[in-house]
Amino acid sequence: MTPHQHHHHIQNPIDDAVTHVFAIMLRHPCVQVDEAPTEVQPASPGIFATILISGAVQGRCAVHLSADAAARFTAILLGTDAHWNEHIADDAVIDDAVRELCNMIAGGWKSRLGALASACQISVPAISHTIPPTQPDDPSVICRHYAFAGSLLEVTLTLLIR
Amino acid sequence: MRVLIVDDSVVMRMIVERALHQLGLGVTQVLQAANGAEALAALEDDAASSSLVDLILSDVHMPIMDGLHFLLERQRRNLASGVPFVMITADATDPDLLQAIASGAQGFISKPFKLDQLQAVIAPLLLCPA
Repeated sequence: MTPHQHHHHIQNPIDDAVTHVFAIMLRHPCVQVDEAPTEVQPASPGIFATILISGAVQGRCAVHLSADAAARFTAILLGTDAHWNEHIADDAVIDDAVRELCNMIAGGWKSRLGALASACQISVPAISHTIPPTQPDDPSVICRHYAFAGSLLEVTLTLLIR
Repeated sequence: MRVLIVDDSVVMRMIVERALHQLGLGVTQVLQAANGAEALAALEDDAASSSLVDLILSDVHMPIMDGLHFLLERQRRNLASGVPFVMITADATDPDLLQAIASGAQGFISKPFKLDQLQAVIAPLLLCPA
């Protein structure tokens, strides 16, 4: 498999997993966008959820939302989008929702890996409110951006294939 | 009908509870636990008061006691032994899930799920419990 084919083999399942989660759990459209949006750039730390990947595939899957986007996501997930700002006042609930989002995206991505899926494991998600160290020029880093309900979601996969 | 939902995510417990009510299965009470140890305590309390849940829905990966160990410990203690036990997971290829099915869990629901997918798994179990 060439590096380009490998990139596609990994990247397509991310897009599928993200759009599937939003379509099923939120009944809300979520589309991949090309530009790195300013809302989720490092200037706004927001909320990071990270899952470690081990076994035949090693690395990590991280999702990043700004604080506003995370609150909006939580409100839609819980069905309180009409007055999301009033209902979603508990930061712990928002962290929990982002943790579950990361869990479903990583699980969905893994299940789309075919034969590799049963040979790798994913950890429980960890939440951080600080920017994790990244190496954006590393070819093993795949960073994808998605737009939903006027908000932005960043998903980063950092992988080492054995 | 009484249901025990076991998940370390309060958001997921809320979503599952809402889904159960939306399905119109006659759920009258939902017990919640954040891990297997809390769930075992809830089942012990039930047993002490001669009550019984009708369905257990459990996450796989949880701190303190995960879903597989909860399943095995429930069997060892003979708690709610005839009650259907369904795993909920975001990773349908998880070896722990497969082991739970092999160890007596009656089915699993993969997150994210649609209402009809939830119904397809649990409705037959409520009609014909193990």
